[in-house]
Amino acid sequence: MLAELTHRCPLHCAYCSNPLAGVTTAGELGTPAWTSVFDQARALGVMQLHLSGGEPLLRRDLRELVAHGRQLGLYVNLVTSGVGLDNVRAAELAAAGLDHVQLSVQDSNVAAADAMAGSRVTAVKLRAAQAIVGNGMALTVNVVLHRHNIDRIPQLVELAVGLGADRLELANTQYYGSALRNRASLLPGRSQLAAAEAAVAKARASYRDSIQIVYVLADYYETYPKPCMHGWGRRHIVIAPDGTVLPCVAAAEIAGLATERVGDRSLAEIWQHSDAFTRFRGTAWLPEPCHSCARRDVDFGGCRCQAFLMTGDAGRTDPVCVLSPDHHLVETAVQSRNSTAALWPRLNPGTSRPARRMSEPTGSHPARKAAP
Amino acid sequence: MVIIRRIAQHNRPALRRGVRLSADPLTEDAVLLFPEGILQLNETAARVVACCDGVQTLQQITRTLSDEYLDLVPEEVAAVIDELVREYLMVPDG
Repeated sequence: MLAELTHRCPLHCAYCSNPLAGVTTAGELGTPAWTSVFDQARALGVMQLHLSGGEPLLRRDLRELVAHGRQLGLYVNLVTSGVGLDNVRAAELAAAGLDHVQLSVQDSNVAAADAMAGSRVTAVKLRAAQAIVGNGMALTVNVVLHRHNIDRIPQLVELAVGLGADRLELANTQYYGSALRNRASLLPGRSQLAAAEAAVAKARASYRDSIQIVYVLADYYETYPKPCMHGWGRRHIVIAPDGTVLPCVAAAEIAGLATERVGDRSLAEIWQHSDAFTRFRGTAWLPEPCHSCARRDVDFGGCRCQAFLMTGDAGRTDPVCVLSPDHHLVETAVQSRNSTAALWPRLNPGTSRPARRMSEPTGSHPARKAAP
Repeated sequence: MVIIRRIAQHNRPALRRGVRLSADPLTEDAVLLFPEGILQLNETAARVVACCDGVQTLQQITRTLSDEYLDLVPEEVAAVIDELVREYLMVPDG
């Protein structure tokens, strides 16, 4: 289960996949509501709890939520930017039973990382990593890959090793939320991806025992779609900051999907019977060409949210699939790549101020400069 | 070239940092919990993992388990550990 404790975040990464219309502070669930959700999830058989956001460290009750999850026997993972994670806070969370921390890193190039985050983050990440490892917790460094940083995989691996990470996750951008808005600028080229895969293979060979390197493919360049969430409503539950129960993080953007909130009825009932979970569960609902496809039980027709965001209909085949009648949409997106396109920063929920382009006014966006 | 390492008798295997032995709350089956994953363990694997504390050597673990379970094949102990090391769930020396 992924608990998105808040949509607030001190960073403004243009590749953020959170829904553009996030939940404001006032709409967030309180501590008792969250602990009740954890209790219900455990009774349903949930074994892992991912505390995410936004930035979960912005919640003052984080220690309490970690402790509650751990007492239930859940494996508790914190997904964080590291902003606000000093040694005192890390020690407190470790004592509460936090099993693992995923720390985001924007780039190995300091100026590019700070530009993407919209803040001076490099020193913050170093301090956070030291606090995590120093308090005996397992550390995964997460890097979202895109056109402007994907050429620096060797440096990113060195950085993660230097930070003391047990794992490094190099994940190509998934185009939802802000990332979709910034797609033209973020999409890497095919030659960049080939070089990246070679760099990953090389790094795996040289660092074999010291760090596990996980590489998440760029699905726009794949032949077939990803088996998104291992199938809709099969393994995963996401709870949005306001208690909306979803099959995945991006599903909040699917218009017409009747979602329910915790408290409307039990989590078990929502999981088993709600429209949000049953509409695309299994394979009986699948359209052609998926329904008669041999890969039906491999990829489940791909990603519902991607189908919705690209075609306006969540019930269509993921356009990433070469067999999809909408595949031209992906081809067009790939052809429309443009390294000089604007990068719009992610905004906090309720922020109505017009977005300043990250590349304005001087056009000196360091990430841009570093691009090939 | 893939180098397949084998755990040695003097190694003291342990779960990797961030990997925890637990039980499925519904089935009570032994499971390993780790970042982004869950591995259901069969009975032999569960017995082996429970002994891997980073203190006992492979030799000691095999002896303990052979005494306790008559059906246990000693080679299986090392095989389970090798597999879990390959999967980044254990370290040969904890």
